[in-house]
Amino acid sequence: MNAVTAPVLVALLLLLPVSASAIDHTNLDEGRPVRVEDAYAIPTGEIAVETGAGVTLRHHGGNRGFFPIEFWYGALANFQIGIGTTLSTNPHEIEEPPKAGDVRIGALYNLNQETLSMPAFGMRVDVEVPTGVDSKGVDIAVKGIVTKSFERLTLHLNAGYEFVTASGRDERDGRYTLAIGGSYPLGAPLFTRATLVGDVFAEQSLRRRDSTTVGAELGGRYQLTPRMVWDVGVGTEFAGPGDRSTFSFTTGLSFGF
Amino acid sequence: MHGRSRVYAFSAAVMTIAAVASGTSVSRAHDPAAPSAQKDSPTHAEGHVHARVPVEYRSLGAPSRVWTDAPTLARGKAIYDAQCVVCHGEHGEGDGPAAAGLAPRPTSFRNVSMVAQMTDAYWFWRVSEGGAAEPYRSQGSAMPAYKDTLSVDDRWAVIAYQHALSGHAGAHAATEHPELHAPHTRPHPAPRGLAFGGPWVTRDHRSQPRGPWRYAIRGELSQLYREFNGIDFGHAHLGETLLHTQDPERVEKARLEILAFIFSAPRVPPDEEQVAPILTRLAPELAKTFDWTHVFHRSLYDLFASAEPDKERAYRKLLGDYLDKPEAITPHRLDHHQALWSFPESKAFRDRFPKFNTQIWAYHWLQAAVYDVQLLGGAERQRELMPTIIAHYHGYLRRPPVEWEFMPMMPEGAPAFSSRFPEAAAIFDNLHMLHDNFDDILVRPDLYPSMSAKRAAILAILPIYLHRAHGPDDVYGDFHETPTGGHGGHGMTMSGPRPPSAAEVLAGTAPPSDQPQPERRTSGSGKKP
Repeated sequence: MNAVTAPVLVALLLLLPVSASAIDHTNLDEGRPVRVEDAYAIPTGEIAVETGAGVTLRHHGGNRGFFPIEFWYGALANFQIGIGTTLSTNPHEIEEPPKAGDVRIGALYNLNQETLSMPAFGMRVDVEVPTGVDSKGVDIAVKGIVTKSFERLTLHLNAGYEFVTASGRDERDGRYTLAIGGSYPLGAPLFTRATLVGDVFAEQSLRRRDSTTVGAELGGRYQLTPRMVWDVGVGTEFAGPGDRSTFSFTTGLSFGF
Repeated sequence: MHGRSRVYAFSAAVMTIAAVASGTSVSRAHDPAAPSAQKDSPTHAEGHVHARVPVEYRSLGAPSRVWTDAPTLARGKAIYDAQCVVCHGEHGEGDGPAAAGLAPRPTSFRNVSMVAQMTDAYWFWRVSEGGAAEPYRSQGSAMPAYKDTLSVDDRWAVIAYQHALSGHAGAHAATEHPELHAPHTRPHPAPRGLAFGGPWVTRDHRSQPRGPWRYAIRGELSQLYREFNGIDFGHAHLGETLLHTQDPERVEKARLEILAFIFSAPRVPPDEEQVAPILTRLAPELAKTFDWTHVFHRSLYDLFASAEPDKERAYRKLLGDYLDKPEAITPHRLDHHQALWSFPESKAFRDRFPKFNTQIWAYHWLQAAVYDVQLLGGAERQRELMPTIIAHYHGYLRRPPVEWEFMPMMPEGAPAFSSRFPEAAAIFDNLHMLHDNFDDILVRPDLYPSMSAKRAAILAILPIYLHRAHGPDDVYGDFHETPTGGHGGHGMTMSGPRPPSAAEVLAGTAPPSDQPQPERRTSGSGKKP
């Protein structure tokens, strides 16, 4: 795969027939359009395709376009598995994993439904296979997810750790990630097709000399049809290494089958 | 007030109220559920006839402050002293100077039990309409109607003072009247091996079962698809509203919001967790049963809108898949009219919010009638016929059929479907009754004041409906419809203002849906073949 194939894939997906029964625009998945996600898996038996395109403007270094695509399947009750990748322009300039073209295989398990007293908990594991440009070593990320609602405002905590098996000199062999976010349905209860979502996040840098990246994102998800959600978001990293993103924009579509 | 005879008449009417209320005990007869409960057994051992509160009064409730508000009680006392004391006596014991000349004798407001049982609506109706209302007129009551001579506030004031004479110091609420226990209501059943209640609940969302018919209704019957989206919103918004308020104005506002939503023909199903965020987290066990059964509902609509050649086989497959899950509702015919309709809170929603209640029953009528239309031909034929059914349904929405006293049954709206597919018909009738049970719980904050109390009540009832509780052991067998009992339309005949079948609507023989519904008899044909 290369950077050209991603837009083609997006175009093909747009042409796929869509059908009834709502894919959930409030079911947040990483990157659509912000990194924080909720603790819930997609329904058992459902197939979801998530894809998009974005651009990031960097503090130092060249700007970059990126094109993620991901497939998910509700394999078992409260358990989804998926595979995906992100393609990028200027792939050789990417210094930290994941690299452009790395294949990510993931699974998310939701432990419970949120009740009035009990938050929902989820666990996610991803394995990054070094299939991408200049990539080496398998990386494994684990993440715990907590979702708790207050009326219609829902808060999400994502705390994870990424194990890097091919770290270089002056690099850590792992790093933590943390994201705290919220989502809110705009116009509810009379209108429930749009969700506002935002987060703040911190990611430890792999290079020991670099400071932790800290940023924020804001976006929205909109139910276009019962089986298609459109999302759009912006973000910034206001602290971190020199090649951090000063501004990023992403938009994408999620389909349910 | 206006003359001694009117005073006597007032006394007689109030005495009649006392007689009505003292004849039997319902869970709390001064809640809105009580009069209808009384109607189910209209004559008691003492021979008192219990009248049902007319629709126009049924949703009335006293302003909560009146019972303890000193100025209100003082105004009520002044009215009482001027108008009532001559028959009821200074202390409300029914021993006023004129009492001796009245037969039957004036009531005693010192009868704690009787006073506790009178609903706000019943009390207000009797004071407003007096002896002109049946059956009291036939009994010879000369009670005048005070609706023209006492303002609304004054009527509540005198009622509050009469209530105070009984010795109740607090509000006229069930929590203030612990002596009330209903001999002919039945408590929620204790757990019988299917206990819920733990805080840990799995989510278990499932995609609609796959098949070539999947999602057919959206493409083939888009108008109907949008109606169903509106109905989904209607259930969720009602429940969330009732969790927050019982105020008639706010509940009516929610009803009108739902109507606006339905008539907007929404293209996309609402996200029910966002419409009703508290409700769906209060009892997710119930939400899962609703979700899974609605998925089954939609799968069948899809199937019958599709070109699937062997629909019987596909039906069996979908039914099997449905019943295989722990959230499935039993296909046994349950005793809707009696066992499931005689809990302490039963009928409360119907009696307190009759328009809202029958609006919901109209949803259920549509959901039933559609199936018989679907049996009349393929998708194209269905597209021709469905607008007539939907237009009839819209008539019910514009003017809710408040004359209906019980929910529409599948064999009434869809007799052909119910005959061919009795398991699905029973499941959907059970589903709709579960909705009614649930709404009744929500409108009785006096019985279930806290979220945990509501949750406990819901989870006590839910297992009755679950298929897995009706296996060989059948621990809820006492909730089955008996072969000769029930009036559920499954081969039974129902009388009163009842909904028409889809065939009657299509033939133009059904009563107009946007006008008062006439008395008629309906005969279900849902007997198992």
